[in-house]
Amino acid sequence: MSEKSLWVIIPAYNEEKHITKVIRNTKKYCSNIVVVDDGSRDKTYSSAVKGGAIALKHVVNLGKGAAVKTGADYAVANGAKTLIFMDSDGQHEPKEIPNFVKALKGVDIIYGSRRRSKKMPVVFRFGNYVLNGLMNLIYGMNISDTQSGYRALTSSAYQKVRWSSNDYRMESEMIVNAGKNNLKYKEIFIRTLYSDDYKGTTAVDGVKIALHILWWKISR
Amino acid sequence: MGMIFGLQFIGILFALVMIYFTFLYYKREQYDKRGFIVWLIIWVGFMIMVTIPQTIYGVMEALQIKRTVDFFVIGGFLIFSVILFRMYIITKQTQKKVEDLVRDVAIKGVKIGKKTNK
Repeated sequence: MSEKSLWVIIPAYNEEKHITKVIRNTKKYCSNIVVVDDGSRDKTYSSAVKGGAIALKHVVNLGKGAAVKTGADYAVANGAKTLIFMDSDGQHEPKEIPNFVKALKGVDIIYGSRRRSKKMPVVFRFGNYVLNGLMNLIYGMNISDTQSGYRALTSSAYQKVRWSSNDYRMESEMIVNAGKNNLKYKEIFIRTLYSDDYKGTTAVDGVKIALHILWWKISR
Repeated sequence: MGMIFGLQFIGILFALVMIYFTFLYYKREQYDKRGFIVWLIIWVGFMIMVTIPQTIYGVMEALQIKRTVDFFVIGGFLIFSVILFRMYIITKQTQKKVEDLVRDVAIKGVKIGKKTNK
């Protein structure tokens, strides 16, 4: 695959502390790095520009789902054939990118699943357990981490899974849309580094995701 | 079918306050003349119904509602539900417009950093 057609999309909200390092490490594996600053109040945007990324800025905070969608739309419009979604807080290791690219051969989507680890905050672990069980039970899938944001997909798969959720429901909606379109998927295990217990999904988000998993089953 | 005087007083006072705000927001150009007239008719109509309940006795009889207060409670609940639904739709539409606008501004304002240190 041409290196030019590989694009990494990084949504970021108030991540000035981590974004430069994330970009620097990602550059070793991909030159097209799109950082979407989702209305940050800190210097995330200028740090992303200085770091050498393609920086897009939401003037107001819309949510992770919206930020990833903006970045992916931009990348696809500019010739991306393979998209990789990655978090901006440094919890995803860019050195996994070649593994994603390699695994994507012959399938449409790769889900990066976090290994069960005691380092994962307890609330996240419990929420993940419930949501994974619900998703696999209702949609008959076999994905061990439905909430991980580290994923790779082809641009044609992106057009089919393009979600409407603006928040953390995007990960689940993406899986639902992929299932609905019979897209081929694989799962690879990734290492995750936790730097902040308070960022990311909350218990309320978890309940919203669970309700939507049920709703999508009924309404689609 | 009667109405308690105290409630009538509160109803009239409420309608007068709402007429004042209707006029105030019209002067501040929050809505156009049509909006102003529609809301004015609503509040004046409400005031007439409260002041002279006999004007709605025919409707109440047709709907088999015994007390004027019940008529206002049921009517108020229905109107409230319609307004709530309408506001839900407007909020969703506005949310979508904001989202599209923010995304559009982001893509048009893209900044590309220097690609070094690969």
